[in-house]
Amino acid sequence: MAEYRSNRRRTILILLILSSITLITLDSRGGGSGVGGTVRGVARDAFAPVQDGVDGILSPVEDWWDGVTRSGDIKDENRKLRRQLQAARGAADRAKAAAAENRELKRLAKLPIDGSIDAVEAEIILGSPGNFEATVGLNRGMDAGIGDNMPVVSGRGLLGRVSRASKSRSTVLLLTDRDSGVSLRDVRSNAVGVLNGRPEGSDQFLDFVKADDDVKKGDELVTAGSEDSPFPSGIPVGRIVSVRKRPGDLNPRITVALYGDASRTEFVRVLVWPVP
Amino acid sequence: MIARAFRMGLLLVLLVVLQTTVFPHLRIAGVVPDLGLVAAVAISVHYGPEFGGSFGFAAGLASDLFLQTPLGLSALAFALTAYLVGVAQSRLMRPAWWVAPVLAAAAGVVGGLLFVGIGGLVGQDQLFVLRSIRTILLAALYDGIVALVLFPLATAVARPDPRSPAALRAPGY
Repeated sequence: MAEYRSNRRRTILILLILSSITLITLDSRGGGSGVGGTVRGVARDAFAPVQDGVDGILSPVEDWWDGVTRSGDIKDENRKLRRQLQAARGAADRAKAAAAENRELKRLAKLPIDGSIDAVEAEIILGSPGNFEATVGLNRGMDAGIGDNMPVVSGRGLLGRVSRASKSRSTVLLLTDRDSGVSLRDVRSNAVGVLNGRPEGSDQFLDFVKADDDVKKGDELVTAGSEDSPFPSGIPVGRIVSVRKRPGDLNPRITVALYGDASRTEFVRVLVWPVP
Repeated sequence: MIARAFRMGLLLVLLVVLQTTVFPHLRIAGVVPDLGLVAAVAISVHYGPEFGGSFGFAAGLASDLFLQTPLGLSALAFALTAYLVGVAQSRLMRPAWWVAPVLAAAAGVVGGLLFVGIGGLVGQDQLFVLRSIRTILLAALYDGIVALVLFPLATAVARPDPRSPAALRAPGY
């Protein structure tokens, strides 16, 4: 009996390992666009209404909880006045939030991007569910014209590119993802380098800039738009905050402050690029 | 048997919804817990490594659907971790209340290392950085915290139907 159980355990373990390795191999070879990509798309679309529903459920619960914590003894005049004051402050905060949202949308409309490029407006609704990637989820997908690798911008600048699009959802690979890389150009000197993603909270660096290239603190960086890049040229990305050149170094150490910050962004535009 | 499978399916859906919708807003120090891994470890500890490993595979596969890494990577890491923890804990004495968070945190470290290690082997070079160690350790601590709630929940959901052969083998808590 013990031997039977031991054999059964071993068989299950081997089956699980073989199944996993087969899936990893198939998905890696398909580059995310084969059967694996299709299954992912179907799953994301299937879960989209559930995720919307949970979002919808959580909001009223939050509001209800706010209401409970703010209500008190109505006979207590002092507390009543405090509540009124809080309500007034809340209204002011909401007005501020609406104004900020308005500003964000206006910035989004004014971002200096080639006018011939169509764009799809979308809202960031999900953060990354994992620990080893920097992604956000958008509320629109292929049905709205969004496709894989399309650039995503906020009102301040480039945020990243669409890594996977399903019918109703898209996932954006942010510039801070370790798998992200984009070639950038110094607007003042035309020096070119590559921004390889590093996790949010860490410094971002412009790599592969030649030691004799003219780069200075404060220079603005835009996408270089090289031939094989998924980004059109000229999208604002960030500015140089420090340049450290040491004798003997092949490349200077250039620290970059990114303009786009997904954690503070609600609305984005997905650029329909390359133009079909 | 069918009722148990149905309950396990519901648990899987619940974990996926929580992982993709709720916990991205509840990041601590930039990390989220691996709910599927913690649940798989709980099931492995209580109902055996085969069952825990199989649930870990399913939970990992469900997580993979929403990640950028190759399909099957989390499935392999979760299945192996749950299986190993299930085999190792069978040598332990009757568990105390603190065993759940400790096991979950240990599983978080093992699962994280497997994920990064296997990921690196299959071409996910971006995972092979020193910062991944920090991420793994912080996420493991978070796994330990959620285990206080998730262990009893997963154990209750996975409880075998009365009079089933699995119920006779189950060690209970």
